[in-house]
Amino acid sequence: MTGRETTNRRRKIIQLNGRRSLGHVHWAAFAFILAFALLATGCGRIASPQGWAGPTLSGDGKTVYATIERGKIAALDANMAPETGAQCDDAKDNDGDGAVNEGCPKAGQKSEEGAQCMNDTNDDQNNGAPDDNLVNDGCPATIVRWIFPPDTDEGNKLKLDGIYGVPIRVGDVVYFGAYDGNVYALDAAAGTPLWRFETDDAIVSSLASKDGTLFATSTDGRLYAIDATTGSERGRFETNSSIWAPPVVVGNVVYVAAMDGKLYALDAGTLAPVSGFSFKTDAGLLMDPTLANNDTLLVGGIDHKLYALEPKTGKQLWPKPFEGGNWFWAKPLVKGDATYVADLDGNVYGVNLKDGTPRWNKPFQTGDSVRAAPLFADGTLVVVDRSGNAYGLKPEDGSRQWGPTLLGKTVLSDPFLLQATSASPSPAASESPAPSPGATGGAGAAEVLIVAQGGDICRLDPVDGSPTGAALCAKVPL
Amino acid sequence: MFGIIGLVVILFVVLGPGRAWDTFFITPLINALVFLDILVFGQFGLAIILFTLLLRLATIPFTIRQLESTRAMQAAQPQIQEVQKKYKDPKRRQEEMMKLYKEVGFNPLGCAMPLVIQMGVFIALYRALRFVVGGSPESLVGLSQHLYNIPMLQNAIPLDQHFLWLTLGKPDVTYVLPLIVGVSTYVQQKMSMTPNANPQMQQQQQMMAWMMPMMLFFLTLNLPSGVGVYWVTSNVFQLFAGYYVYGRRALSWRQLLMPSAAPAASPGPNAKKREQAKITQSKQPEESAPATAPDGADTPAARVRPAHGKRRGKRKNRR
Repeated sequence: MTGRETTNRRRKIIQLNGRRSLGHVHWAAFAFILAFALLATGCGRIASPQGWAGPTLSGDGKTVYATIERGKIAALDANMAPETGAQCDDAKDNDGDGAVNEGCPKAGQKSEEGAQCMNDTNDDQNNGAPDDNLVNDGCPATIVRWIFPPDTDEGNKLKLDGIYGVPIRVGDVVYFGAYDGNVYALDAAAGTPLWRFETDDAIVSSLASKDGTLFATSTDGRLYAIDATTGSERGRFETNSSIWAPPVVVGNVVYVAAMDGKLYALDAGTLAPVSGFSFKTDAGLLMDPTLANNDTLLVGGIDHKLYALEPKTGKQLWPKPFEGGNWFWAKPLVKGDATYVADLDGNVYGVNLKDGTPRWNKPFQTGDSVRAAPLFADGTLVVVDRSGNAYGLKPEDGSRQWGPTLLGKTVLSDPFLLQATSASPSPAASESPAPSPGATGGAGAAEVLIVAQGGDICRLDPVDGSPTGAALCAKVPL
Repeated sequence: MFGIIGLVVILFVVLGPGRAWDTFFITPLINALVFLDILVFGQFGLAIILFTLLLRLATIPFTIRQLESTRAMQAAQPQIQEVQKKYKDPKRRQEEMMKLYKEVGFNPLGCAMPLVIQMGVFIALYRALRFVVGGSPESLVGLSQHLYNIPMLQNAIPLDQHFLWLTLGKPDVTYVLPLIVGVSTYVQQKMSMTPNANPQMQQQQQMMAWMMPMMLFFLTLNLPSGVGVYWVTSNVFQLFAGYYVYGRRALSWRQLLMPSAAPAASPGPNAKKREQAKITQSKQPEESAPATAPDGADTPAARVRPAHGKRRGKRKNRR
């Protein structure tokens, strides 16, 4: 038998045997198609919380605390504008942001980078000789003061999984809750951990603070009162349901909106339920409870309804709740006698606070779900949907002023208004209750900061939606 | 069947693959799972098990047909070997094989259908679980886009992720569920394996018997546990179906642990018959053998009992 005959014979045997075990051919095909399909459908993205914490500002207005990537928080120089022109020729902090020559162009063969940008000396060398005579040339415009967890052996052991609640700064400490179920307290200047408080499940909301006590809600269904100095537990309240919304402190009362549809009003000192207060819906409450004009408490959630309640009793103030097209998760923005709220169908509504009637003829329809709270800046209502379409609306009738500005990123975090020459403390940095984003609005040039999924920071002008930086969105240089 | 397939293709073309897939598979599946969760008092793990059982019951005709086809193939091994030896011309041999398949009732498409259904459900379930059990808050945002506006369904959110030791939206880090998936897949595969006389093919089959469970083991390590629960339930159902069709012998330790040799390799109840067939075969010229004998009794195909609709044969086999 020739070699060719042998080959043919073998091929035929294989063909025949292949037919004989068709069942296994199917299994093999099944396995490979399944593997391919799972890869194609994004197998790697399962069960991976990314976090959607919006940024917040330090008390002196010089530092922005923002999540820069999954489970990492950074303290950034609030002045993200670079030094330019002659400012780059001297080794001085010309723009008063605490950083020298940030964003200046590279000189010579090499740029300064990393830790070289954190000091005010000429560090870069080329073949043992000074590369240039400039300080911090080529350094990024955004100065990173610290990152937590740090890129060290110990820091790498910490897996925060995602940060959903906006960090709060009280005094010299930054507090935030993470998806790993812990509340972290960091030194605001250095980013070093001071203490950690563990809950039994993920934390997906912001914290609140009052008189040295932190209040944290967890999806384990509890409200925790924590000593802000030591991190020890002062008390807890069990709701028997998971909690996704942040606690809100009004006077001496802590409000907790739970997924059992109840809004709990608790004494801030004892965590005992306030007598005479009662409110319950059939579906879970997701939205941040928001106090409007000190006399109306807004809550909403999965049943597509926005409720206005009397803060002392929980009694409904409107003849009927305002009904949206899908879940209300975005924190409502209160401005004067109106509230602006968006649902997960992408509708933005203007609602009269007095009676819950629509303020606009029709809701504004964005391109995707809106989880991010609307923001009021320079007379414009800024809304960003999940697909990263940013819109500027006229608050009086909900018509489009500009947009969409395409950020090209998934956005679920609340946008933040940053004054370009801000030197005064942002209300967001003060103790709870956290103000609505509209409260940070004011006169003068401002920019809207939007933290996208994955950590990109987008910056745009609230007046026309144009980029305020060299690029609309950029990764924070690490 | 072809009508349904045609309708699905048209809808996919009209709506676009992504939207059609979401509208006709993912969204109904998500809502069905949430509804079942309500039925089983908020135990989402039980809802997945119940869903799997209902689905497998609905597709039981396909499953039984597949198992019977495999059984027919097992029974027809001696005849297949005869065809192999008897006809050297590949074309002729193929014709004879096809005749034999037809005679024994082996339908390759019939075998594939349960697998295609399983694969579709598996992928859809994987996608659905990403939303339903909320492995992350982002997935809950996605769930809002898929849940029908029915108060009963909306009020059931969020679903309890915890079932036994598992967090259904996350992979099982204890390795227990992936192991159960692997073992149950192995047993289920061995049960339906076609015996083979060719050592090379035996080796290949052995490799396949290990490869699939191993692959599912590693997949389950990375997929939400809910998908693993579906897979285990589906395998257990398949074992019961196999027990019904093949009988207890298919689940014996010998069957599970030994390589699947063809009946020709070891003497069995049909050994005498096969010997007789060999003698008959040797008396005929190889290439000139007629496709069918005048009385229809001499071809291998003619000596094999069809698989479908033979309840008596099935009971006999089970005994």
